[in-house]
Amino acid sequence: MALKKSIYQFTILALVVVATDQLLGLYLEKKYKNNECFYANGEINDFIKNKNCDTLFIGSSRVLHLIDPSVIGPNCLNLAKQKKHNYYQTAIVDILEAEEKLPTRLLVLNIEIEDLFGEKRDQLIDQVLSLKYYYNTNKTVKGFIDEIGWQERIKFISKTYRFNSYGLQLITNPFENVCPNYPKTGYIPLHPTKNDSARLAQSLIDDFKPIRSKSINTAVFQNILNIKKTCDKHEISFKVIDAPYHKVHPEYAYVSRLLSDYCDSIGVEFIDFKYMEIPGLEKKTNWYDNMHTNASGSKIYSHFLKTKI
Amino acid sequence: MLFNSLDFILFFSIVVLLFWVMRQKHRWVLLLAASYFFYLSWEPAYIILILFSTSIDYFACRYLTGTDNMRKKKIGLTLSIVLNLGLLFAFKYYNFLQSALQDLFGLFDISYSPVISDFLLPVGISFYTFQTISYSIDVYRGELKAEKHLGKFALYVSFFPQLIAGPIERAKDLLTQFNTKEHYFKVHQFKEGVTLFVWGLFKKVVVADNAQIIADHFFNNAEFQTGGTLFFATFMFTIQIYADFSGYSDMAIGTAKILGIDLSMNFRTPYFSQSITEFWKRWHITLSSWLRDYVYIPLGGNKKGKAKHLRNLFITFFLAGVWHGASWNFIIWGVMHGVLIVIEKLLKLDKGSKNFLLKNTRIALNFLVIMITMIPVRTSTSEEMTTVFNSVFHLNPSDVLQVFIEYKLSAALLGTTFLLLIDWFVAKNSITTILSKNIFVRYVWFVLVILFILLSGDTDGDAFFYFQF
Repeated sequence: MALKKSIYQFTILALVVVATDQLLGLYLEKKYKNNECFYANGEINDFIKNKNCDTLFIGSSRVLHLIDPSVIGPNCLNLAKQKKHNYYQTAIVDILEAEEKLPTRLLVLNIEIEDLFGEKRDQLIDQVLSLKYYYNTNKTVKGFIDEIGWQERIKFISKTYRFNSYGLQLITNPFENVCPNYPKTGYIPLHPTKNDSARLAQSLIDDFKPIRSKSINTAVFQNILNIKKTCDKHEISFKVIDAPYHKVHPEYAYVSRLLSDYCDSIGVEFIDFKYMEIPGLEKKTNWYDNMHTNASGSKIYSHFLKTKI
Repeated sequence: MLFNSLDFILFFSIVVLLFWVMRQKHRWVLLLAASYFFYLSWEPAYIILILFSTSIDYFACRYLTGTDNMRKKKIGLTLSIVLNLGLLFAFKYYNFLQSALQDLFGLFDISYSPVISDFLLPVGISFYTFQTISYSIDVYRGELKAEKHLGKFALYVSFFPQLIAGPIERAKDLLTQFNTKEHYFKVHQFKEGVTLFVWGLFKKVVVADNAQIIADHFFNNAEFQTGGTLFFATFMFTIQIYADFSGYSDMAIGTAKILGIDLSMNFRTPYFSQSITEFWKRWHITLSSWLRDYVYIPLGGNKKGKAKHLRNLFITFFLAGVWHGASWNFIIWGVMHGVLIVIEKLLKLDKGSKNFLLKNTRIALNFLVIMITMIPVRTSTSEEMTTVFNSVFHLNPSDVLQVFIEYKLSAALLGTTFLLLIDWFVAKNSITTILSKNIFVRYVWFVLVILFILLSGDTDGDAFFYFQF
């Protein structure tokens, strides 16, 4: 009797959970689509709905904070995202293609050389999870997320799970689409602070730890090839760059050569800024840390970049 | 295989199904196989340590039970304790001791090159070795008969719900349940188990994992933070460690309950304690009671005068710090708690107040003290620890307010508020007791918790903080 009652109660509870999940999922879908602010992927919505460009820069923080599109040209934009590397960028290109929002002339991908080291693979795939909203509609996103494990397919049975990690922000943000600090070109400068020299010194220690795994994650090459194919299909020029460092990790040289050779072999231009002398960037005062220039350094780099692309 | 992963849920569902359709007398085989499988999924090579510990304690206790000769009994007990502590020392403390020796010799300009071991710390070693040591001591004291059934004893050592991070169970509580003949499926126990598991999952994936993101963000650049942000980060870490460990304990207790086995309560809303003394009666209860029964009381407890009583308390908490980790930070943490408890005893602050205002003021102040003592646990070097202490003790209150406002709608803070509200509401009861009283409250609670997990849970399956101990 008690068992029957419990099964009955459990069934009711399960139905309530499923119904709430579906309703909340629908509500969040609406909130998500309407969001055009710089959180919960709002910058992607904003780009898809409101922007057009001939040149687009994608990459992680080393594009977001380093490349000022207004220096490069009037129809240039930056759609970079902090801590989102190669796999995420590959998925973004696929999403833009599906939305018919690829740039008309040139796509520039900044590659993080550390992505090529095998030890980073799981981390790179995990970054795609922030695009889980597109799981049911984008094959590339689904493919990457499914690589994490069989469990991921189960999680997506829930309608709400597609908003996991940013759903709460969508609910709690009372000012829908009031985004005071959102930059129009997608570039966010790092303004100099009193801690810059200390941070730079610390990052020169942190960033120079030996690389543990020497294996190469060849999937990154495949991703570059996929982006190239997409660009070819739409007759868009595609370039791969690597932004400058204050000091370059010695173990990056070999991998950079591999990347350069690969790009040559598929006919993609690879511009390696980290081994170029960029006048002005030798000064410590233009750096935020070892991997990021500050606002003044970014101006210098953006002007230099303009001459190379 | 983590409790907060779908792999575990699949594994556990199969175990539960088989367990309840199997005949009682064969269930131990299933549980033992499941426990070894669970451990093998972590660190296959280290299963040998569990087998070693199991064999030593089984045979040592059989030996000391079979003799009335006190000398032989002592040999049996010593063998068990030395070998178990030897294992713990070799894998957990050896490298720390070597580097401490190097530092010590360095003070006298003597060069010493330590031989550093490459072994990783086997998960759960601190928990199962303490469990087996308590078994040997109980058998030696005559409080327990040595288990004859090797399989069931092996299951006691390796029972998967509590193998990795406790609760540290006594044989008289756990082993006896494996020998119970009447072990039937009880609906209310099953429901309680599921409730505890879901609650533990919420604590882990919503509160602990989100609090960790914030704490890490600030602690990883501690030297560039203000006192206000580091205070907030310390608050978040204090919440993280509680939600993480008590979440794990809830899941362990819930898992065992679904199998009809009761484990000991490990946390009883510890952040609502009025003193550090009370805190330790409500935080990691199975470790504190272990230290009380096997360290503090054998040292003399409070029976040999005030000075020795205070000494015994200090030694016990110093050892609690050492148990937690092989580093100076944990020793400092243990010493801080030892000193605070001694001060409380001296000033007679260890007893709680019943006056509403005084009680709540003391709870808030005590929480603040606990928070400050968490700084050595979170920081990894003495420089980092000093930086954080310096900043926190020179903070600007408006910075604190500002950062709390900035994060007010984050999953971490909303989850923390929900967790502390429930903790405050359930007080000294278990959440299952409260939820069993009203079906509407139960439904609302379940729906809220599950939606919270779906919306904000970190579903990547991060490991639990206490696994490193």
